[in-house]
Amino acid sequence: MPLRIVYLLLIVVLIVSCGCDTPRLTGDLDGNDRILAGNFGEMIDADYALLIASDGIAALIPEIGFTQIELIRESGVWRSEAKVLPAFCSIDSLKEICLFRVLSDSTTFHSRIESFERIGGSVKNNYPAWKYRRKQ
Amino acid sequence: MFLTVQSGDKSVELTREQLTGQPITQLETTREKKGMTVKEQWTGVRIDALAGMVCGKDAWQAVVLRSEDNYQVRLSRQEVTDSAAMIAWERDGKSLKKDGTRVIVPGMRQMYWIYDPVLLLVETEAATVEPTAIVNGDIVLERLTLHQALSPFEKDHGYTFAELAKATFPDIRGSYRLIARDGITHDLTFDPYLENAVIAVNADTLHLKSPDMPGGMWVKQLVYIQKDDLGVVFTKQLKDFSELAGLIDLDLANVKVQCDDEEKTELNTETPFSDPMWKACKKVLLCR
Repeated sequence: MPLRIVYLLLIVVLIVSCGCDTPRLTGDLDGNDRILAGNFGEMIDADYALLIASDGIAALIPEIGFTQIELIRESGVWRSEAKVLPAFCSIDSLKEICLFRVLSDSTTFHSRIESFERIGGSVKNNYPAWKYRRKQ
Repeated sequence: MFLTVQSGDKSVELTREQLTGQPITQLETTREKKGMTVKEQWTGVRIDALAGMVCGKDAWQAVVLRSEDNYQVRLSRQEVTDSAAMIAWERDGKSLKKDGTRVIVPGMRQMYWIYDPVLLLVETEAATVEPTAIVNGDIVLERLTLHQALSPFEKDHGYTFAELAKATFPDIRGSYRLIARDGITHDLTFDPYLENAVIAVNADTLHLKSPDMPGGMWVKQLVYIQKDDLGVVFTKQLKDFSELAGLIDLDLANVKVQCDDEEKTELNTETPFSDPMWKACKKVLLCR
């Protein structure tokens, strides 16, 4: 019996440890949004995504670039790989993904992006994106 | 200071003496005035020479000229160089009124010939990128509150620009491109120009007004707004998507126009905007 409890505890610890490093999903959400490893365009249907790194740097990417982003989890760390998009869209330590939807009733995205300032923009292979950093 | 020439963090402040001390150029223009053709000889300094004071000769894309009352015009590099645009201080050998200056842009409407510019802003990056998607503005307006009295334009009814921007664009700060039915294009920043602007409705036409802009800068018959890569089109004044493409310099030969629905339906750009196909499509994707 005690062994069974230990196993159960182990399973709970495993589930929690696997889940806690998943990037936080915020912004104008609908019930179907979730983050998994794989192609971002195949899992998310939104108009823009702000990919936020743990160091406060972020990339604002329009929908047309979503299919060019792969979300990868390695050694418990999530990153985005987007070779076709401007270089700053490949983020090594992804902490949060904030979604924007046109005509959303929510104002969460605007509140979030106001805590960032734009530091540049770039177009690569016809895919534009904008770079932000968290305000000091 | 008489004129500030600025690009990013770099700026040069010129007194009138320093401005008139620049290499002088002369230009003859012909324009219609009160039904007569008038020839005038202007003396001044070329705008591309002034732009070169704050950035490399080939490093700039456009200039914005602003007068003290915040009236501003934007000229692309090509418009400046092709027309040999200048800031003049003499007409037909005589100083302009009150020792003032005037922007002279041969071949372009008088609205660009602004008096007494105090700022020449030199832009090194294109103000907007090509759109990757265009939202149906008619659908956006249906979802917004129609205000019966638009402060401070109490006689007008319509929408506030800020509400439209929040409903449509992810980051409302920064620069917008606004295009009128006749093709006149304005590049304006949210702060200070558009923050308090309104979109007044008059039958099927939309007019943008702002208490923070001189009346000459208001946009009559607004049909298109773009921020970053996202456009918003108001279709009631336009025939079809091809007409819009002409207004915004979109080369349809290199673009596939798809409705952003589940099937990503390809759209015929010559189908009239009045067709239910367009009415049902909230957003089109422009795939290159």
